[in-house]
Amino acid sequence: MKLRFTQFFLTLTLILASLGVCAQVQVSGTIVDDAGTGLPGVNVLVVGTSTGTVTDLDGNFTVTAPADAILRLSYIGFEAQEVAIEGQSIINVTLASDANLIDEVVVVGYGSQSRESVTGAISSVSGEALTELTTPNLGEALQGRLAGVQVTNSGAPGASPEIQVRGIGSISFGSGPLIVVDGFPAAGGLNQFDSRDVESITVLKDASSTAVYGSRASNGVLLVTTKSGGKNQPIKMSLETTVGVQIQRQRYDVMNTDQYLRYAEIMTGMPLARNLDEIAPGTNLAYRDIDTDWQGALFQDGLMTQNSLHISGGSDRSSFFSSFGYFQQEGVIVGGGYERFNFRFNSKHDISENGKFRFGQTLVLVNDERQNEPGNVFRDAVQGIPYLPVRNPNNIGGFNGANQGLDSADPRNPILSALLFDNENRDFRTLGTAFLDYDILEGLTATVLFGANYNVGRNYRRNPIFQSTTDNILNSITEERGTGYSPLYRGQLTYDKILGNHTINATVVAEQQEGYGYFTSVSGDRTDNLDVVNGAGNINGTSSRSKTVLRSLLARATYGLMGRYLFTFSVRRDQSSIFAPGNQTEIFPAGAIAWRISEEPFMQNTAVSTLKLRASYGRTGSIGIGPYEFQAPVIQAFGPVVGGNSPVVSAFINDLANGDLSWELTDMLNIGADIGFLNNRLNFSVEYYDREVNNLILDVPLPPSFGPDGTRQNVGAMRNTGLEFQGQYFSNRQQEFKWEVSANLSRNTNEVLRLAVEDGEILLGQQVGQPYTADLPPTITRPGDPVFSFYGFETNGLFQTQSEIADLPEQENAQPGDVRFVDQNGDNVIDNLDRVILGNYLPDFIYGVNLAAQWRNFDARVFLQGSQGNDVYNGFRSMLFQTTRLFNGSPDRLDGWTPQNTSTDVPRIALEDNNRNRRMSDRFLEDGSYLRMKNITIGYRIPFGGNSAVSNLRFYVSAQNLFTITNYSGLDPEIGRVTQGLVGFDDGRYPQAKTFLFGAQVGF
Amino acid sequence: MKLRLFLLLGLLGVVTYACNEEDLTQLNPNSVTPENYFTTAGELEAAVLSGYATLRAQHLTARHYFFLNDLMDDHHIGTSALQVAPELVRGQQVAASPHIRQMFDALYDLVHRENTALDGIAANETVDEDVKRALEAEAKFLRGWAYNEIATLWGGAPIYTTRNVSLGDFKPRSSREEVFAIAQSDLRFAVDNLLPDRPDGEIGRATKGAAMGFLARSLMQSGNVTEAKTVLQGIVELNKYALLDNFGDNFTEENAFLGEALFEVIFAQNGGYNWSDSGDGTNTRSIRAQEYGPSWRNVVPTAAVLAAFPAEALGDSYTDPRLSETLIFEGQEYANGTETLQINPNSPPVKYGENEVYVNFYKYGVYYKENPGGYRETNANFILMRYADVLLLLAEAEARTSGDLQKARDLINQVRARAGAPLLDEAGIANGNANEIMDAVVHEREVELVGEQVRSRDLRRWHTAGIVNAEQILGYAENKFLLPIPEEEITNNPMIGLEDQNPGYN
Repeated sequence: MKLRFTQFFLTLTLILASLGVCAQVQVSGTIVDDAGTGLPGVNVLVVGTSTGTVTDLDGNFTVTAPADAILRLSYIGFEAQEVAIEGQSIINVTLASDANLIDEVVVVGYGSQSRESVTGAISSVSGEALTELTTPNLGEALQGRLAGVQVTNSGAPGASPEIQVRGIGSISFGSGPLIVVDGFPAAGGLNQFDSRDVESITVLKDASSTAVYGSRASNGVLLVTTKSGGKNQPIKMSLETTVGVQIQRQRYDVMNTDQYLRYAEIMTGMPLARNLDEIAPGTNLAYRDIDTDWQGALFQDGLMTQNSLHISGGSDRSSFFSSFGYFQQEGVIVGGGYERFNFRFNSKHDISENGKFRFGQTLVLVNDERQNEPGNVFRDAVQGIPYLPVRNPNNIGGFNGANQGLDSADPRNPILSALLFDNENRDFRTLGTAFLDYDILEGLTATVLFGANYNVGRNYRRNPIFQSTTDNILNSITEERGTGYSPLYRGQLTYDKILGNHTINATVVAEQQEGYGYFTSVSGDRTDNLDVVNGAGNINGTSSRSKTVLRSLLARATYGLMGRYLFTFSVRRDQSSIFAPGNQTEIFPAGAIAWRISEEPFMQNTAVSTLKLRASYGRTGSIGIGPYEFQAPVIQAFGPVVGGNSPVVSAFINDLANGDLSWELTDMLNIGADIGFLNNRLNFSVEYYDREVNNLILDVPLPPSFGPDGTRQNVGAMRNTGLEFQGQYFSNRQQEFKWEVSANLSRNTNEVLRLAVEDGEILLGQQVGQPYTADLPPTITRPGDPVFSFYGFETNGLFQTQSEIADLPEQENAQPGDVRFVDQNGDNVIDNLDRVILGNYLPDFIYGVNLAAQWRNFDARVFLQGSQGNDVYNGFRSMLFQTTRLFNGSPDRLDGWTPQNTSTDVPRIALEDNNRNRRMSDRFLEDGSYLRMKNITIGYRIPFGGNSAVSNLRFYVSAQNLFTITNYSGLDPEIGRVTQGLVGFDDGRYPQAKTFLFGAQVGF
Repeated sequence: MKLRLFLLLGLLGVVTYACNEEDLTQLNPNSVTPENYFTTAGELEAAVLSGYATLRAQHLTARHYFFLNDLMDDHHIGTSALQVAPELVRGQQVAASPHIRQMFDALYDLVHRENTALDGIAANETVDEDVKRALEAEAKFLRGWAYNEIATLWGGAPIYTTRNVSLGDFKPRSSREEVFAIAQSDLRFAVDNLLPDRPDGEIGRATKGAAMGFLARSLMQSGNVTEAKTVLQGIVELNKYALLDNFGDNFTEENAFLGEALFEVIFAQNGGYNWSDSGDGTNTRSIRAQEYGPSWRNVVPTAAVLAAFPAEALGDSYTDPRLSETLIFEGQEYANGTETLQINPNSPPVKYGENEVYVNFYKYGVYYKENPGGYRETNANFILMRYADVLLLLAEAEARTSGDLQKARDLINQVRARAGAPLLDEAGIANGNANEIMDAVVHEREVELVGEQVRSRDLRRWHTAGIVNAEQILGYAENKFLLPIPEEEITNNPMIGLEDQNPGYN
């Protein structure tokens, strides 16, 4: 099959070549690597023409060319070489492996650049590294790979991780980077893109590289480039399949039946009302002999598999890449799961024979489905009563429940929640771009690009009829559908020219991107267990729509002098319909300079192969608010009771719409250096940045006399400063044992500079709920301190005696055995004014280390990743120690303080807890530092030679999250955002499980 | 060449498309915007009506209005159960007191809603002028009522007469006189442009008589007794209102629109109590009986209110019949003799003659028909002003202006006679001259209007006029007669600083 295609292409090439030219000679030869092995697929191009070929499986080629022509031989991973024919008919060449292993060309906004000419802070990661990890989410694959990019995962199947570039950029809104896929900005979540389709991901970090994305670029830009076929390539097909299992063995320590019964009696002061000698329904055991492991019932070993089929190839004028991918992850919680299908087709074509008129397109279709785990299942599992079985055949639905009267407790049955409740997301996305390039003059290219991003997100929720702790007597069903359509129109002119010592590149772009949103929702209750709203009672429905327009003009010029002095200047003008007319326009300028010291004459013949200093400064923005916030809607609602006894409809305006709202603006200074030795086999980059965000949109309270209670204003300011380090070493490629190591480390510090009022503070995160904080807002944001700092009381042991309580500052309702809080302000009263900043979720630094080695046909990769110096507030542990309501929890509660048991740090079992022992305090603050063995892979490539149809066969085994070194007491120290303003707070998060995988790659 | 042309044209097309400026103005398709509303009479009316929701919101008549007004007089005292503004009892309120801020906020929410309606009416050019004038009068009626409450309780305050649409719209504190002036000018406009009657479908909405009542109340409070007298006389001459035969019928669940009230806020049998701060939503029941009732017992009568009622038990020659319609004692039978009151003693007993007794408020409760149990919402309309109040204010105005004293006596006697109390002479209440008549008015208002949110303003008015010494009666100094401007107003209004706070507060 493959041979026939190759032969076809070869023949075609030969015919075309021989037709077009006179005074031709036929040249043939063999191209080998250092070891003398023939290299298949090497591009052989007759310089100055579009004639060329590729080598066959044994490295042989034949080409017809003018007798004085030059052949250019190029192959990925090897140094390109030019050979003059000089009348020879046989040319054998040995290609040297490419010593400079850094990608030579990097993708930047609206174009690409050679690595040497980059003036900003740009890092990239190859598709190869991204696919090392088997994960449904590209974001997770980025973790630990790029300095300055912090990724925080959730273990839930299909969940999106938090990605933060150079610190947190907003107080009121999420601040993830802009994601640009194949030139299409705001392409959606990274979990819908198959990591194996990705050629590379580039992160633009400093203002000079991001400012071309203007008003959406404040939080960094991720440029995802998907794979494409190469010209003059035989059709290649590769199959990769990976299958594995995820396991979660670690559990929260909770009381068994004996301990629980003892505890219940101490707490409630009397034996439970339930007759524990009774046989539990559906079992042949008395309640007291049952010891249900609720967590064991909740966790499962889950299947994970990723499968892909790639086909690519190209003729002299067309090339394509197409793929099919299937991903499935069951997850480690029963009833959950994620499944995804991907289809992709990318192609490029020279429309005109001379190659000046080109067409290209990308298209991806994705459908994914996710069964969301119900809320609080971890809480319900640890609070489960151990003497109650999970199931009860006598109940509708088949699940057991607690009885408040008999059990004095009412935990929900988490297995019921996980298995009976439906909460399913089904998302379909199609993202496509099509472009025409035309070389108007030499160096001047015009491009017209159209793109469209269409997605349908559906959510289906159903709570069926069941009997349990609380019965559900109605089957309630909600179906929601959100449709988004975003067309993109772009015209671009690029001018690229080298004039002696001057390198000039200029880009001008006019662009408009629109967003259309449509949302509909319908819900109903029914008395049977059908799945649909049709025929239900109490039917409710709503729909809404939105439209946004972003119109942009941008220009960028780069100028290089003698290859040593580089200058970049860009400016973008954005207009957005999200803001009020008159306030829609903002200009985002940026500039950068770089000095390639290593190119100076005085640096020649030194060990230093690269030395470049870079500096940049510029402005970017971000839109936090949604559309229409500049308009105060007229609300029509029932309310006044006049003209009878029933409320009538009235109309009013509740909001003060601030028409002055505008972008949050970031000004960033970046200073960086690139250093390389040994022909760049050893290379480093370091960056320093100072990122100040102004015009932060905050909720501003209005005086009560004003009418509306509050509004939003661009008033806050915040600063992130940081250092980034990235280094790589490659062993000598000539050796049989090849290895490389790369490492990165980033440090970011955050400080809030200004809020709406002087000495203002913003308390956030209260929504996380009473069980974890005892009703105090968990974080504070105030000038001079890092954003979202944990806020609460400092503790100092337990009160031992009444007289101790009397002697110490007044602590209302304290009793012996209660927690002693510290009087911070010295006013002799413990109250909310004594709260202090306890810690912060922001790490001192994050890092990643990657090792790769190859020996003969064996390959191995090890990837470590970690975070140092971040705090986690273990709200879940606070809940495990709650004693105000009867639930299962930590067995250490039995070690609670009593007049007889005073040498303990566990407070008394306080049914009322008037002292609020569990309030936000340092008791539950933990060091969240960790080092994780993110991945280890060992592979073996079975050598195939000759004319075998199989060109490549590799097997590998890998283990993900094999171990995590941490002092954190919960299941997983990696904890992302709970709600806006609350990060690093453990309220029972889905842990990242250990994963063991086996995979096979076959190439044809 | 053709291709080049094609491409350039394409590029031009994109640029041209991108220059369509209209695209950049996107208005919310999901809700009506102010620019597109206020076009029909129905829309203008809906905007005006929204104020009636605020009026019955929990921070006004559903809760705070009676708590705050009552706790500022000498008749009411909080028990250990009281959570709403307990600090008011001894004049210990501070700028940070939350409930004071909430009621201030709610009054201004009412102002804001009516300003929204008034802006809409002013901008409208299509609706019939007479319709618009009637709606404007109704909006000004509600706004005038709110401003009068603000002037009465806080004194000077910011005056807003249009909806605030930008952060440049903050207003400084106007003087108390200016706030009274805007209240009275609004109410005068309402008097001049409202009809005395409403059809059944509009019952509960502003009328000429109601506007006159509030105008008179406001004039009395701002010291303009002469004009008040004219307005009060006008109410009598409207011939629309009469005292009910049975005093107690005013305070039952069945009290809706019987003819004595000038204005009542409707509470009705829909859903439950409305916890919404805005009064929006379909819950329409009242919690007033519960708040003062036997179960929660947040507020109870003081010894002063007990002592105010002439009673044979105290050695008086008669027992004022209004005593048993106003208060109920421990051990007393109620609900037509089917129940006996057991009081949960969450406050010390009060002195009554030589004894100490436990006593609850009876007025506005459901004792007259049933045991309220642990939780009982009611549907009693909330009467903001009734005719007896008008008659007694008119008597006060006659006495204070040394006007028609016989008329004053007759007015007082009219109120006494309806209640079944002996007339002034019969009861031995001196009424020979203007001063004595004024004292009789003081006594009459004290027993007639207990728990109707007028005593606190009466004491302050009479103190200013030198009729009573309210400092002595209330037990705190005059500078606590006005409430503090809420802290949030001082912090968040750039036009108001600490120096603008009422004296006595910081």
